[in-house]
Amino acid sequence: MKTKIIELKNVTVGYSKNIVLEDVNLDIFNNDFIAIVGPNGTGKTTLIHVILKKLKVLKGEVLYYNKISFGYVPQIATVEEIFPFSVYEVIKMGLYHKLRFLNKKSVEDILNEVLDYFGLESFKEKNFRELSGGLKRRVLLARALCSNPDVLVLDEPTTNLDIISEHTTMQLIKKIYQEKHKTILLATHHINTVINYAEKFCFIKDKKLDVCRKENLTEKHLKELFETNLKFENGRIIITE
Amino acid sequence: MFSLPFIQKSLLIGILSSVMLSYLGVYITLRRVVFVGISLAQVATCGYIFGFLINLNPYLTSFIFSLVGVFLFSSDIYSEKIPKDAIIAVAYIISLSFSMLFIAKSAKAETHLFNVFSGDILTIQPQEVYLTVVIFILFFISQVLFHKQFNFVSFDPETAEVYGYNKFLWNFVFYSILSLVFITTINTTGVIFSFGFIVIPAMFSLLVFNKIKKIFLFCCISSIFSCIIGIVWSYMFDFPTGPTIILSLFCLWLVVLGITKIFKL
Repeated sequence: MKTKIIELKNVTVGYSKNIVLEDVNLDIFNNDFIAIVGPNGTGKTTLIHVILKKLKVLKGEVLYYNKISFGYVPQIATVEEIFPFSVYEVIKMGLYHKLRFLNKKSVEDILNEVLDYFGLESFKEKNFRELSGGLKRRVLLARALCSNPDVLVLDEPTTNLDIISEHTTMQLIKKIYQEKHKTILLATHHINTVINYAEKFCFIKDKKLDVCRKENLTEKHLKELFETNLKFENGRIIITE
Repeated sequence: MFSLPFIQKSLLIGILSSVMLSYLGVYITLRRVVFVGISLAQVATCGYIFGFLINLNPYLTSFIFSLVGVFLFSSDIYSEKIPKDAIIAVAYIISLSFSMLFIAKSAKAETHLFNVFSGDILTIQPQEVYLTVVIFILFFISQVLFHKQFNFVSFDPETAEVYGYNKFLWNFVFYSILSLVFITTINTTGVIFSFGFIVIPAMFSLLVFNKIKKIFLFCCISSIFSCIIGIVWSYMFDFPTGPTIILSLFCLWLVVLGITKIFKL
């Protein structure tokens, strides 16, 4: 049984006089897998920041129906990769806000469990900055999950990855979704990245949000949204002209 | 010579100051804000000289000037049209220009000028020793209590904010500690010493070591050794201590770097 956990009601948001999203409505239920799709600069990160309470709305309201905890994977470009932190140290950061409630043994147990789940034991002592792009995302996912949050928010988790790493990362997100029953909010500018994974799509266009369930996603709908000729082929969207 | 009280005092001041500066220098270097550190030091110097001009305690004026700098550097008030570097550079050049004006109108500041730049810790006063010890204790406590917050906000500010760490607040705390350290060290050990210890140990340590704990540790160890060598050098050949300590530090790190390259450590 799905219950509503977050609701955006007629939300308008922006920076000073620049409105980014206008009169937006969105219902988020527990164990939803929502993809936020739109070209660069359309407001995907802004929408995420509103949900994460990092940005105040100009109009409307955001309602949280339970005490919700978030796990977050930022865009890799915002991480200062030059810091020589080990994989273990980076993952531990995800527990910093909970350290006063945990003893040393519990912290170690949680971290070891997460390292095991993500297959990162052999990289534990390696420097984060020396890892491949795909492994870095895996570490950031592990960090986001180690505090056992209700909602996982992923801001372009596959940007700049090769197709194999992109596939592996998306498979891992799917595994978390299915096994840990987390609500997933994933922002991306490539619809093909999420087309086979998400169950609900939020398309951002002209400051508005177009929410569509996967089963209602038709070629006609997408043609209107992207204003181009396209077709579904082998589970992917292909532009035909 | 180590039994002489003034040598003991200068060693204590040199070691405490260099450990604080080189430790904070690791953050400054990794956050790519070396120029913020240098600008902040210049703002503190400007405030210090202003104190002489208006006959106020230079530590107090230096602290007030630094607070303005700290607020400016830790906030996100910058325009999207220009890079942050440009504002930092403007802060540096304006505070340097004001420093020059204040020196021109204050004979007292002029007499202190050489000490402010080169540092002369061999002639240190007891109250300056006490002040440095107090600042070191504050620095030590802040690092023990807040190093996790500094690490997280420096490494991944976006995620740190999601987990409840206010980016502005923790940057403000960090730069406030840095400015307090600068206010003390500029007066006691000089500008050259302060700039040198902010950049040199961190840069070499990052070149040689790969683990954050080792980087911090060897920054502190190299600082202690270079202070001892530099003070001996200064005492024996009657040189100003600031430059002798900094050159000792540089040579020490060149040797360490050479050894690690030759023996592929």
